[in-house]
Amino acid sequence: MALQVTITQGLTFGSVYALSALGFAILYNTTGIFHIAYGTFAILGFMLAVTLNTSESAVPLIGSVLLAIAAVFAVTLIAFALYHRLSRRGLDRLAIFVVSLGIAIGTGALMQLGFGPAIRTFNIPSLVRVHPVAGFPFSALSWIAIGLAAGIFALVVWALRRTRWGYRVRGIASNPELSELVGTRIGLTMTGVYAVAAVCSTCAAVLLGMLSTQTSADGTNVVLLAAIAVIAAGRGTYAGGFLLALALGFVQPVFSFYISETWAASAVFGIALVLLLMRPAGLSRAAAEVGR
Amino acid sequence: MISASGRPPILQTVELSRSFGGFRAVDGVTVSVEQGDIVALIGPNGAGKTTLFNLISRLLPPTSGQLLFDGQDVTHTSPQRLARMGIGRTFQDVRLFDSMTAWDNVAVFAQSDRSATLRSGLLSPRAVRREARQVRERVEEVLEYAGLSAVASTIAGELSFAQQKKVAIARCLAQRARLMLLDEPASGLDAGEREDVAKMIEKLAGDGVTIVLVEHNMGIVREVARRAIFLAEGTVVGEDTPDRLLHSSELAEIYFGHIRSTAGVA
Amino acid sequence: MIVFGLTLVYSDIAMQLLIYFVVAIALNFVIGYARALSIHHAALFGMGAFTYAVMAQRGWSNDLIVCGLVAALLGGLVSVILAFGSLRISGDYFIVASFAFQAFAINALFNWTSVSGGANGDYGLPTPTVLGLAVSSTFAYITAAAVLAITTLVFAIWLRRSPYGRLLRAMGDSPSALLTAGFGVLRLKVGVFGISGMLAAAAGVLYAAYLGVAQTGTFDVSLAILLVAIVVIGGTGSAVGSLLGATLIAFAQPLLSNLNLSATTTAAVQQLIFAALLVGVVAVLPRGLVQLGDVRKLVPRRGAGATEP
Repeated sequence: MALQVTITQGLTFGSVYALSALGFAILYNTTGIFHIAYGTFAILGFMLAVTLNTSESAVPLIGSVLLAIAAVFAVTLIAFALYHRLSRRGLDRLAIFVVSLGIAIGTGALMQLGFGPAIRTFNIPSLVRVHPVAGFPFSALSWIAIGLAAGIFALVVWALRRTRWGYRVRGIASNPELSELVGTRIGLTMTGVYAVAAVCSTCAAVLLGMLSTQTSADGTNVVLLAAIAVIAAGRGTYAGGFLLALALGFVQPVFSFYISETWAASAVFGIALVLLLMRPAGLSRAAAEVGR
Repeated sequence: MISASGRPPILQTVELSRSFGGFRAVDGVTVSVEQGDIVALIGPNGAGKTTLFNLISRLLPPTSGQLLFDGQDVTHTSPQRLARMGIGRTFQDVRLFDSMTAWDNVAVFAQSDRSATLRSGLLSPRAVRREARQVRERVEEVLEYAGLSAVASTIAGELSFAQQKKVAIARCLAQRARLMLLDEPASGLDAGEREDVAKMIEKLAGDGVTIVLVEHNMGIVREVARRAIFLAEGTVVGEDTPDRLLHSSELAEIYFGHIRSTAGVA
Repeated sequence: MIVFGLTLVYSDIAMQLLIYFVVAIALNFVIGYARALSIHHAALFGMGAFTYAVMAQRGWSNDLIVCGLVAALLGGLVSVILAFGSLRISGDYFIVASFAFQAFAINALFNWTSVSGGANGDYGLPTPTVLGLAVSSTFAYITAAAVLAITTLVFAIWLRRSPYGRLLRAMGDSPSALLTAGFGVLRLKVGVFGISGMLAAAAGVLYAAYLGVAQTGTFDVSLAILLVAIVVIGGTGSAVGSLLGATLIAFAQPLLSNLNLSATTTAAVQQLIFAALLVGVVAVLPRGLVQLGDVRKLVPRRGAGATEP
């Protein structure tokens, strides 16, 4: 029994983390910018969707999620326009990260003012009702999470490999200066990148908000696991970060069932920390780079 | 391996190699440099010259081969030990401590190993004062030698490029390097500044310092180097006086064929 | 009543300013010298606070010096472990690792209820003593904090000017050039991280002793980010900058609370101001607020030959 529950929960939460990681990865791999405000933007999406869906105006769920994605896309676009402008003015990566940190704090504060500190959640019983499959307690929500993660991942990877857009994204990732020379298309290409990130992050945050509760201060956890997975996997791989995030999804349920429920959340960060510190590639890379 | 002049070699590499992934950047290089010599490493871009410098200063560990300094096997010695043993180097991109003064830049290289512990600073102020005096004397002497006394208190990042390159050489001097690896000491300098650097190199050699330099400016190489080693694709393809080496039509083809295709060098 | 209210507020401001200043200097060592952006200093600070909470509650000791030393040892040790991590990984890797450590430490502390008191925290902590003298008046607390802050400042200035500090600055500018000068980076990084952890944890002891309370929620990621903001807004690598940043934070809260907003709104407005300052300062004054006075040009630098004794 415990095994089935663990696997179901691991797959469900893992899919959400993986989806979140995919959005972070496409931004990180393409621009090299550590966009820490990613998590806050995702929560902004969730807050908007919840408010639209449950308020008097009662926009249908799909509609409210789509509107939320559009909003997240817009703020991502603005944030990256700022990062690019600042990096052209000679700011280094650390400074850009600090700017992103500032944007995260600011967005969080605005959400506190706009949505209040209350805990929000989607309350849709039909989605979370369990329909066991061979003893595995899957709910409709689990299937949606797994389906969305797998589907969007497959679509993004296919687009990156097979389409002209993907070709240009890879071009920007490997040589941003050169791509700049190609001209206006860089803006259009990046628009696609921000859109993918907005879809992934908003969907992940909404799913997380259906699986558990969220407050407007919860941005860091969404981005933290995604960032750990993507950065530990290294720039230039999508599958690595995706799978690592999926695996991190299993840590909490496995720990809860077999070791200690109280310590499960600590264990996720502890394992992530060990993973980052022990990462052998980190060592060899540091040795190979005789940088400043 | 005693060379023709009978002086012992200060530096020897034996089949030294380094690969990155599948790419062999330095491929079985065996060279020997005798004490007091001025040797130029020449060759087209990407020939492995800077990688060879990184291997000799041990900033990069070799994949295989052997490195001898003063007849001692130093293949597995740490870069900081090697620096203390007397190998100094400069970088193509200079790498000064940009936020510090020229004076402080040189002082770092004059400080003893002891000064790297906080304890020594807190518990033995007298020893610290004594060392501070020695460092001060050394730094002033070196800055004077390099003609940098006037800019001693200027922030290194705000110095002219030529002055930055001189500070880099002055740093090697301050650490009493017996072997200096100079990575493109004259690139980006105008004719007058180049002449200055050439004079400084000859003065150093006159004072017994062994010099290996990577340089694209053949004027400088002809002027100062007594021997040149030609590298291409990670291997030594020729070794002679600079004049004879550059007159070899085959090597000139490799070199100038390449130079012509990369505008703006030399 | 009003007079009483004012003195209470000003003592809070003074304590917050002095203690944040110490932690900011500690963080500045790591950011300025090791060039590692640490997001875990709130955890180190918190470890110090809970060291006092546990030692005082169990009657082991409520002496600020004893508790401070124990906390410093603990914080220094943890920080040194992270220093070894920072040798293996750098840049973004270190940032996420530091982030993960912060989340791990506070989460683990929260669950370790016998130490942290869980969600309620440790409260009603005994009044501290220093060498047998009870620290009970506001003046005594501020004196203790001022002694810690001034000692820290003097140490920071001494460090910067010492030969050791020269190596630290060099490490920040170019670790590879420092290697060719004959100095391994390991010892220096361990030193910087160690000092930084010791200071942050020692400040935590005083913080808990003053408030009489220690709650894990106080030391979460938002405080960690606030500390980074103090350092960056003031100016990385500058003690004066950290003082400016800490002053700004310490005064912002009480000034905003005069606007009669609710507690959460006040916090949000404060965060908004800091976010704007953070982005603005980084974009306009990359060296922080100290750039405004350009202290560098006013204070003659050591090493300028003529200023040497």
